[in-house]
Amino acid sequence: MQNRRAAQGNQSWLSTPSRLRPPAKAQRSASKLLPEPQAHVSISFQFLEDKPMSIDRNDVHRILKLVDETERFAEVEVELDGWRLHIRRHSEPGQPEPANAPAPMAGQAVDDHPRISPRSSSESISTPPKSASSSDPAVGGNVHVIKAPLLGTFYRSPAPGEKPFVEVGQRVTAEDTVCIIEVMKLFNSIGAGVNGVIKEIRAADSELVEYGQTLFLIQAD
Amino acid sequence: MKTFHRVLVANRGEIAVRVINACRELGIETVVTVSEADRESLAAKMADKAICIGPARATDSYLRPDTLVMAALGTGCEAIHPGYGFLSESASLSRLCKDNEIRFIGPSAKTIESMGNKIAAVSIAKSVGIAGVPGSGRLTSTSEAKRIAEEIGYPILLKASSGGGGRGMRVVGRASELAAEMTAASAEAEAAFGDPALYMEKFIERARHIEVQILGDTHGNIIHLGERDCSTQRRHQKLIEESPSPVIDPDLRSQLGEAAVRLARHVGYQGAGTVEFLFDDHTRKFYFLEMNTRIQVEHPVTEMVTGSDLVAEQIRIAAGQPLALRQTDVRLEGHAIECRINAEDTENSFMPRPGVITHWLPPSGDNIRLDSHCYIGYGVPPFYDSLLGKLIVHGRNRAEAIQLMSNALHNFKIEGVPTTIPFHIRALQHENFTTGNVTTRWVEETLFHGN
Repeated sequence: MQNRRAAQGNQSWLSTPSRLRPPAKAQRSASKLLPEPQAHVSISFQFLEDKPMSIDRNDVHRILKLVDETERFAEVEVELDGWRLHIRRHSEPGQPEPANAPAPMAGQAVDDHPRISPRSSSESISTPPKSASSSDPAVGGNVHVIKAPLLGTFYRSPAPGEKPFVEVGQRVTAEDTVCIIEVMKLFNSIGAGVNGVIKEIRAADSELVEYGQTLFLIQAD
Repeated sequence: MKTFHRVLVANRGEIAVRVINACRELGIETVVTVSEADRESLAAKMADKAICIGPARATDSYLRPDTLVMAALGTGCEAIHPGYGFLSESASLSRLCKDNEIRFIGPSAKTIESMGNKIAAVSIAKSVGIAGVPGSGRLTSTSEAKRIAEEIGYPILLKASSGGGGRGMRVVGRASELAAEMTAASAEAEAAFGDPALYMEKFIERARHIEVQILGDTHGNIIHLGERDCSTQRRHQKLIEESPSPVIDPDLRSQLGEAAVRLARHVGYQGAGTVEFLFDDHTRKFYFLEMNTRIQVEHPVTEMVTGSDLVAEQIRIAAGQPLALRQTDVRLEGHAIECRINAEDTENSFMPRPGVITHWLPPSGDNIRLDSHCYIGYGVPPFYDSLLGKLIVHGRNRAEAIQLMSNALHNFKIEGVPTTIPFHIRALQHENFTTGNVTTRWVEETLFHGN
């Protein structure tokens, strides 16, 4: 097994087991944004502290395979030695959610969110706020910056009309989800990564955020 | 006139700059997708907006159809221009665009798929009467090989089925040598690739790479814009391209063009595309190689001699406009040459050399064009190809074009990274080049062989 260091200390990230694939049949598109029903599992993987990793991609694949084969669990969480893996099976399209599904955390069922409305081309293109950098007066001291780990639509709450994950001034723990970023119907939850207090929220709900864009500043403990 | 208001440029380097310029001329706004390594690129500075789609590694940024389509939707782009390389020939991207009502500036997923598989493309070409290089399937016996070799005609080339890179390849000049050569080639193939299987191809001693530019619109019009001769290559990497070819006469040009148009029509081609042929200098026969369903790096030489703007044509076609040109309007005027200026060490196996450009003084003058994304202080990232730019000249005839190019190369000063400029200067003054006597093996066999 390969020892790999987390690229950025307390970063939490999430990926999907299967890539976006073209539809088997052109007519299957469930929605405009979806070429086909997507992967029905979402995985969240979180480094709990900045230390050499004892797990790699292959291990995750092995665990996924086990979960897939048993088909008995809707959700699996493994926490060990500085990392946590969270796997949640989504419902098949057209089928109800498993009755015992816990509160959404890592993944959202496919239609919980309204699709991003394609922005009209007549709207002007605004330049998104610049990433926080060392020259940013708000950043420094013990401020933890959460940047978008991927391009997508930024959502502050688990579903429309629901309470945002976090507000300014709110205390969070490293494991708390602070937002969701959606790419083509794949919902990726982003963790706080540190214990602390939300200092600033720099992205607007339902807006497109680019890779590396600053989303939150957290005053770490 | 139907057109787009805003286009997503899903590429980097000089082609992103080229597409942004074409859009600007058409009055179209641009959003360019950049990886983290390209945030400071010229394209990012030029576009109306740059959006970062991921880290430097292309598989996490430029090669992700989902992210590109998301970026287009989120920024209000109506179309995506994929440039060349990356996802320019991706049926998945074309299809994903369609599903999300974004126009893919290129052909349909179906067309890309039918031409994407080389073997399938060869058989499609054959079905419309365009032959590929004559050859065999897997050879099962010496007697079968003899029979096929008689049909194809000697010399023939024996190739390893699992092979590549020249190993296991043998040229056989006559029937009496065939059995012995097969035994040797088979043993070599077994040793090199663990598979003794062989197949046979006609050996074309003096082969040129000739390709035909085509344009097809959504109204069923398809035209060709003459050929490009890209025979000056090294390990299948094109280095110098020109139009017209020094060996193609008007009669052959219309044969090649008609063949290309016939194939394009058969697959319902929409957009700009290139049909590549291998041309036998001795017999003057041409054989289908493959079709590229994208804009090519070397498209400017065609633009110079035809006076067209192929990237603008691509965009107009995607917007649903009919072709502005008819076949009878297409004329090749003068002669154009393109040299690819790469950040490579030509004295050291053309090894790519990323680095910071500390000095950049491009040549200027009438009939000199430079398509580039470089500037003083630009850091050539190590993650992508080594192309710094393309120097293109347009002369009244080939001799004038060569002279113009030589002067331009001499006046092109780049410091900070080694470039292919010294190679081009040397190639252009070689007698084989000035007399138009270059084949696809020339660079390796003559230019770099014992001087």
